[in-house]
Amino acid sequence: MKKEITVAALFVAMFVLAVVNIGSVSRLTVGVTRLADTCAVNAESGDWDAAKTNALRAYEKWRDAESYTRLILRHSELEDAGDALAELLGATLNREAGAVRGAALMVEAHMSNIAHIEQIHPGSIF
Amino acid sequence: MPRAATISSITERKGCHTVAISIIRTLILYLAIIVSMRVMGKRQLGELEPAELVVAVLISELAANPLQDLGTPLLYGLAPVLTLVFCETMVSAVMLKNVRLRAFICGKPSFIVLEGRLMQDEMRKNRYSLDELSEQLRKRGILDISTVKFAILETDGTLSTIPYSGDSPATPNQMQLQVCDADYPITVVSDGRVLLENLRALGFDEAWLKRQLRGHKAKSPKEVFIMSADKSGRVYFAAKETAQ
Repeated sequence: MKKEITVAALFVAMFVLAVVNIGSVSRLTVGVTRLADTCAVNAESGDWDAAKTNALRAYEKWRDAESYTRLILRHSELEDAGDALAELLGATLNREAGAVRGAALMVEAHMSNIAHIEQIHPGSIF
Repeated sequence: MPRAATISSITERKGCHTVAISIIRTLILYLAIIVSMRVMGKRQLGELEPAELVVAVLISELAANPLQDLGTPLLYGLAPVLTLVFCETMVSAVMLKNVRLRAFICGKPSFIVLEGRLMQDEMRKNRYSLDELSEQLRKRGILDISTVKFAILETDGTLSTIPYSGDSPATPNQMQLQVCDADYPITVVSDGRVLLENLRALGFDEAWLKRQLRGHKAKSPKEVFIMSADKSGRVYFAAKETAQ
């Protein structure tokens, strides 16, 4: 019986961690998306200092979470999201408002994809 | 350092790491699967019931994916393996108590031969051909089907056969012979190493071992390849052969 209890406890712990992970990924992707969107709004209004700060914060937020995200996300998805954030930073430094908006949309698409895959719903199960 | 040299050093290190990572991942998955199989028990290693076969096949498939693709997190392999171990352990535990669930998951044994009569309906139901039946009987040393009283197709796919009493080998009891029950022999010296725990479990001591070695013309346990004994003191001895 001890063996069954250990296995059941491990399974429950794993399931709880999986649910906690969904919340963490959701918070991370929403945070990065917000920063990218704010950066695009700043760029469109010509506030390039604020745009640069927000682009850097978005990039760093994503990079800081890398050791965690590498454990739970496919590496190709991480690389695509990292590329989009680098593009956002590059466009901000070059002060190209249109390119910044485009990169922000790309970041949003990647973040939404990642968050969507991690959510439990019929689409992600089947 | 020039830029080209830096890039080449990064590339080389990355390649080296990839190999190391794949070795570490393989070791982790190997350990995880060994532990899983041990948790699921010995039945998993022998003849497989349908549910056990499903688990064994799935585990090997799940473990292979993160090994082949380093871009897949190891957790993608470990989490499903743990889930399968959980399912298998829980289902086996419930099956011990619930006969209906056991019948549903593992099926029921089928009589292929009942009281010497071939059960053709059961054979059809189990898609069990006459060729398969003959093969299984031959494997059990039975050439004449008329000598079989019962043949049962077990849930793990093996065939158990029970011949008519007249066609079964006679037992000492039937022949009214007095026989002694053999004790279970335990190894006391293995490849020159004395297994003290086994020696004590038999109720013998080192002095007894020394006497036995002298009796077999061995100066020390190092000269023994294998020596086993049972509680009655019956000893099997094989000396080490020197390498040619």
